[in-house]
Amino acid sequence: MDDLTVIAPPGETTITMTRSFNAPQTLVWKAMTEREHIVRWWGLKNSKVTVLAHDFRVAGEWRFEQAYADADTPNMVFYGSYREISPIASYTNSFGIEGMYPDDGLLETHSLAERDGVTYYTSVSRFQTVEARDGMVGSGMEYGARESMNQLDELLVALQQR
Amino acid sequence: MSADRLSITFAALADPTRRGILARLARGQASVNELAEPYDMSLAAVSKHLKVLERAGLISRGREAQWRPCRLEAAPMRDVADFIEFYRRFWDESLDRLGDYLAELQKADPDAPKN
Repeated sequence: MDDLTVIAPPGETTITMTRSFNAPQTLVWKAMTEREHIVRWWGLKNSKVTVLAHDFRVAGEWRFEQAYADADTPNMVFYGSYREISPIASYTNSFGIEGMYPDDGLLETHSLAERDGVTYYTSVSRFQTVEARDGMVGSGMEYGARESMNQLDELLVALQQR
Repeated sequence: MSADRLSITFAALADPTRRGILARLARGQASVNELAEPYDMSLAAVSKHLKVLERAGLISRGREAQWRPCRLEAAPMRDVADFIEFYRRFWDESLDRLGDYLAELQKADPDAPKN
């Protein structure tokens, strides 16, 4: 069910997303962590992902290329490494975008828990170098860069309403 | 956005003194002396922070006056907002697709072992 929530708490450097799936935890784990399944769902809609690397073990690397049906949009390569793996419960990976955002800045932890046949997914994305939102938005300081700030404020409000 | 520019912005924002400086500059331009006032640190240390902010494009320094006033620049902030928005949308759509895919998997083979 599409019950995604996204929370970006003020004063923290994390974004937390939760969602439930009508499927047993073992199946969700497989779908999320095995190459043949990953290509079926990973990425924006109307895109197709190619797995260039998926070495699913601690310190193993992953590298996925996303291509869009729309030929005008350039392909993007996402990459990182797996940092922690606790089978069917959780895994942590770094997340980067080639040429844009190196993978040492962002760690994602994906966790699963099953209740009554429904699997609850939680991800926590930690921006390593970002106390950005905290400093810029959470403290409610007045900024002259109003346009930009409002944009970020609106974004954060939107994130929390979802 | 040039490669890694976003990371430079994020790194520049990761320090509480630098965020404090940006907050002060949001109220208007200021000299190094004025910016240093609230902090128990040398002018050299404050200048170092200003250099980081300037390199990240978050501030600019005036040329017209001898005291070279510092000003806040907004563009890098927009990049941060854009990135967070992209990232949120990326996972929103991926997880939707995962939900559909899981339904498809279970429909295709309802008696399949659960693991």
